[in-house]
Amino acid sequence: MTTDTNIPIKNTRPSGRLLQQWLTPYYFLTPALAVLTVVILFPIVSNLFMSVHKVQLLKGGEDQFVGIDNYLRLLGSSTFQGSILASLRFTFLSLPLALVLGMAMALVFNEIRRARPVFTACLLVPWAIAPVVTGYMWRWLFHDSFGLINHFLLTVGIIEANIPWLAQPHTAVAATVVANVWRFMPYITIMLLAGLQGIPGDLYEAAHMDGANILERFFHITLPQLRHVMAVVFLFATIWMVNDFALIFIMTEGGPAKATLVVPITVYRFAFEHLRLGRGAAAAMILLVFLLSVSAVFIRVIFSSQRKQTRE
Amino acid sequence: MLLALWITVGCGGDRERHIAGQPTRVVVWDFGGVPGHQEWIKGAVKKFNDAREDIEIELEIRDWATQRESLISSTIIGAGPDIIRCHHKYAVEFGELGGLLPMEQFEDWPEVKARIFPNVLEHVKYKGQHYGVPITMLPFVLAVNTDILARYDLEIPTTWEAMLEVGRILKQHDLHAFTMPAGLNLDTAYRFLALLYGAGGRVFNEDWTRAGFNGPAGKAALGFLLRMKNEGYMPAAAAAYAFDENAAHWSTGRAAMSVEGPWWQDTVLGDYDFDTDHLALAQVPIPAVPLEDNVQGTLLDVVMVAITGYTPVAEEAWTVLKALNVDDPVWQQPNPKMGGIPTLLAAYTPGVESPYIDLAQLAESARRGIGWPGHPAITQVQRHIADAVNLVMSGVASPAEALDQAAIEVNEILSDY
Repeated sequence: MTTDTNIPIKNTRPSGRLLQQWLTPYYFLTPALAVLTVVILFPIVSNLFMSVHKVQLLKGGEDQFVGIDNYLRLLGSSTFQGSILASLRFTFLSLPLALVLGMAMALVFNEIRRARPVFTACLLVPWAIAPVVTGYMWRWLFHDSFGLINHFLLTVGIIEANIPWLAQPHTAVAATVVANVWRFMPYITIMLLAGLQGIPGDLYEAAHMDGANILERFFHITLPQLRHVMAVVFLFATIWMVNDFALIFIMTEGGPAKATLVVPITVYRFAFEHLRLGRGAAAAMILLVFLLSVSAVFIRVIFSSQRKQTRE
Repeated sequence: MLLALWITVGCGGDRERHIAGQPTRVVVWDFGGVPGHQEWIKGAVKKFNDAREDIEIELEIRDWATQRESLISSTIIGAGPDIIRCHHKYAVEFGELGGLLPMEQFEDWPEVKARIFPNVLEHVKYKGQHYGVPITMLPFVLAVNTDILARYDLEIPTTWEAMLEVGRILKQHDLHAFTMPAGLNLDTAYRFLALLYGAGGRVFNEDWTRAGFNGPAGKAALGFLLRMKNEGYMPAAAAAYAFDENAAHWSTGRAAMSVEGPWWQDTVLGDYDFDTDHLALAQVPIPAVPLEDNVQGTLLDVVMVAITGYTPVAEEAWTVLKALNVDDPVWQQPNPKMGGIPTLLAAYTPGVESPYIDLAQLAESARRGIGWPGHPAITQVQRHIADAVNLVMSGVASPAEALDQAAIEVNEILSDY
């Protein structure tokens, strides 16, 4: 490679018109950037600031800089470690169940030819109900004496005595997972249904003519065609489930024995019940970093597979 | 954050209080209150506003559960209501911060003070000054379904040992002797404290530098509850119960007893159609032998009315406070619809009639009542106690393990003060 040193150096300074052209996109972006700064960047920076301070909210004194002390205390606290485990347990038990059931529902709905909008509207009801209402509904459904679930199980002879669902750690976790799957499944179904409807019909026809049975068509056509939709669903569902507060708080308040004390409830308790805002902020930062990491991995996976497809 | 707090406060306190030619506005935030109380205060405010030309009350009824958040916001901002009706524990937390005015600054405070039960005044006192006027007493008593006990010819138990025996008999008939909320909520801490005080225990040591609830009385009280649960004398699901589930369990005749307060009569009648002819109130059972040297008692909760430290109309607020909460006839006669029993001595003079069931038991419990310690961090302490009780009732820790762990956390909080 050679360089011709006789070529005159081009003046890179833009003229007034060029500068104007160069700046124009930023003018359009400014309102959105301003809003994002106020509603996202400022709270994150403010939260980061709080997380390295001992915040004296009520005592009126100066906040005391404590470095990473809040983080160290949190990571050494059995309550916080337990709440990370509770969050992961809640998310990774709910997610596969909701995905499998959502996929099954989507496949069924995809076959419905008449009145599909009516069925779709009915399907959306759990997703449309406020999480607080959902929480109360399931709390009473799982009630030991008055709950419909025990009543049904007793009636059909599956159990011999009422089960205190929300009073035992393992059954309480199961109960919150059931409620969560019920709430999330419609969203997953709708997303996958949209994906299913975008798969060209001739792919199935060709496979059929080649002698592929229904399972082979599902595993070799449907699933590969849906993988981007599934990745997006998986990403959003993970973020929402790890962040879930209202449903669990209403159903169990984090109990029994802290079995459902997920990270958002721990953040709430540190910050607003114990008024240890610094520690609550540090917990929220840890949660944010975790979710950003998960998102980054997913986005990388999605885009790298897209690039690979494009190259092919 | 300040912007958010200002929005939380609701911008309600910033409007001018004095406007020439108009009556002085006094803003009252009434946290919670049973329906009967709300009905009364609306009527009392209307009556006051109709009768006075110089002062106008602006009443805002707020959710009981939001009082701490609202008070934090308004205290930090220095703007909000002039008068608040809230739990007595905030007398200390917000009195210390200057969020509430000491009553001693009003000339006729000694006359008002003389009309109130002396032991209840201690609940709003901090460093020699009173930061509110206690208006309602809520002693914790044993609420008994007499129909169940009569059916099996049983007496109301007065000791833990007698309670276990009642439990043994009722279990044979598929009934629970006792029920209480033991979920991860503050209702749990309140019921446990009634038992702790009954066993002679205390929340802190004498100089409030260390937790005291993990002493012999606390461990025995929690051990007693655990035994009641393990033997099947109380619902296995209690570890998931909050107030409503517990009330439903008791009111439908599934359990004979619960530790409750003066609100119980109106709650079970109004919300659950319970026939209150079968309701009796008694003292909370205590162990046959006290486990610590302190005086045995029960938990006494108090609702107070206070004047905020940032009010620009302190004298007018004091006038309103007295008119609504001291001089109004409703405080001269104990009324179950008001949610608690009055703190005025006049309400218990001979000849005063009251629809309260077993008012004498309530008054006796109030006399023996001990409040939550007036510590600025008491809400956090309550939360740790509730956690400990829930851990034990969920079967994952022993009383000693759970209470000692909670004590470590509480000691860390206390070391900040």
